[in-house]
Amino acid sequence: MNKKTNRLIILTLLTAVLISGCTSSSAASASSWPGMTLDNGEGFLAYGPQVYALDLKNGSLLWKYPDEGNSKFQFYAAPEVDDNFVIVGDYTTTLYGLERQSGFEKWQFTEAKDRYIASPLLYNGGVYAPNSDYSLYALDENGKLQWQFKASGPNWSKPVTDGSALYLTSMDHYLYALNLSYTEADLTADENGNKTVVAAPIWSLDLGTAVVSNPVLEDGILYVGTVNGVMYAVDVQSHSILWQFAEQDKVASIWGSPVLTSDAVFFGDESGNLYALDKADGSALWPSPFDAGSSLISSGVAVDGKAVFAASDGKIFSIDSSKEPKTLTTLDVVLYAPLGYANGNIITVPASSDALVEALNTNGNQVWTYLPTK
Amino acid sequence: MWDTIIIKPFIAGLLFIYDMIGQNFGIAIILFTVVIKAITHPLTVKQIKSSKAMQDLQTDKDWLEMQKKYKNDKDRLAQEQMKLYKEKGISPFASCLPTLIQFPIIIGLYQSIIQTMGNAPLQMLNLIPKITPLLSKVFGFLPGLQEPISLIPLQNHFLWMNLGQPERVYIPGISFGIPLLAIFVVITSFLQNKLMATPSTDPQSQQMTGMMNLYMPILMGWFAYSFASGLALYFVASNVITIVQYAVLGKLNFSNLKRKKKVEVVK
Repeated sequence: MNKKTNRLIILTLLTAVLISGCTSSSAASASSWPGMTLDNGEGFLAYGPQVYALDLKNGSLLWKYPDEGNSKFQFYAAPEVDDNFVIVGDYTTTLYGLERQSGFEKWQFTEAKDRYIASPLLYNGGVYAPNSDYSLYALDENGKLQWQFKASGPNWSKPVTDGSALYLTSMDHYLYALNLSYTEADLTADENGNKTVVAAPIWSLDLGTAVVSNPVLEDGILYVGTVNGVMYAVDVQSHSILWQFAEQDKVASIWGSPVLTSDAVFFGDESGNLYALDKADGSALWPSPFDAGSSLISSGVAVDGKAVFAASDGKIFSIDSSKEPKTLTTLDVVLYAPLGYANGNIITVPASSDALVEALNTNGNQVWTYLPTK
Repeated sequence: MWDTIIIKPFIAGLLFIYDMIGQNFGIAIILFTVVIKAITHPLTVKQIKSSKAMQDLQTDKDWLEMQKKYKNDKDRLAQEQMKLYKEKGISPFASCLPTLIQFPIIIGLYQSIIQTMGNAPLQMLNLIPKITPLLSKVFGFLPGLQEPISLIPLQNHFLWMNLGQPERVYIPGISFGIPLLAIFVVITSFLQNKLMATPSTDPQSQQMTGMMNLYMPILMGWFAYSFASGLALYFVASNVITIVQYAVLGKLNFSNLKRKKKVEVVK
């Protein structure tokens, strides 16, 4: 074997190892973080090959779907629940309708062409599922397509509703207002000739850059952050921007939903800065942002008038509008998954070898953990 | 360090081309590959020259005599070989060095293409901090360019492909998707390896080269089948450009494509 051949073999193997290691677009490799939804004392977690339903009193497992982990499933978008259903999308273009009580699969919707990175919305028996293929699919609770809306970019944010319209923020830079239902007369033909496509939104608003975080709607005001670090408050009735806040000469993306308290809007950004704004006019409540020490990707949660956030270095802390931070605990993990609050406990998803889910009391002490059995 | 030297400039370059050509990421990948190949062209030429010198040395009278004379004394053989390299002005590492320099560039190119596509949250999370205020200022100076952060997410539809997803072509009547781009990758990788292989009289070396010509395209084809088609597009572009590059230098061995008679090993 000559030197050149040796070199070629080593380079081939090195290339193979490096490409495999460097490429995270494979369905088999992690490309996101766990998504979790809490509802009525139960938690629903999407993480990798399985969806877990937990009793939030003690962290016991109610069911998991599928029963056996299978790498062909890749769940990361937080499931959406109502009294009867758990709706969850995966990274292989399929949306699943599961029975809430048992996790039994009732239906699959397979018409999307890309990943479900956003959580769907369940409202009044309708399923509204944004997909990365630029479409939002509206289904009935049996998984049958009712209509679809095509944005101009991938949809990574969960839509919200005030009961009269549906609001979708997209990576195409726009906020769209849509009807909750459409008649056939309102729809145009899709590529197969079926009249399913919404011709035009009720209105749309250009937010300048992409949105990857979930908006929050409260009292007719939609709060949403963009990838260039601008927080918007949009009056959905007048579809006008009430206020917008951005730190000058700084581009740090907003990934988590803002936390709303009675008078303030708290949000963190990818650079680790935490801001508190006056809810009424968007002015900064603090002269400078609070430095969390590492990026703030996870959505925070409001607990007793304070905002609780998780920094990516594992620090979980609370803060109020007077900028008094209190570190509750520091977990030895990277925390990107959203925080939740239920049964008086803060629920976090460390997804470590010690705990997949962990409940902390408001002082930061561990109440229970859940780790799947192998 | 790696990010600062390789990934950030590559991502900036990709975004710049993407913005310049009217936001087509497929074309941006192809053009960026052309640019990188052009930049590393002097290294490629040096590598070819050094390989040729090493290859010529294998048939040199002194070299062959030395192999016979010191076949039972490996240390002496090595010493004599080094002497001969010195006499002939050949560096045994000269053909290896350009490859080693190019290697991190190739890996960086893979990584930046994958990161720039940003088709999953973790990739996007890696991408956005690389769009620095400095990059925004540079783009701001150039007329007709958009603010780089507003380019996110990149329009990743190119021809029939979603560059963020593995590519398949669905034909009516066939229940499975055909990985057309992966097939192109296998064909172009095979052609590239075959046309660039230097002829060797050593049967063992011939056998190894034959194995590489078979396994490398299969490996590349598997990557193209499994990973995002943006990467597969880069493989095809890179293979085709390399073939063209060697053709321009007159270094393609078309005779390698002909079926050869088996070399009998006489012991």
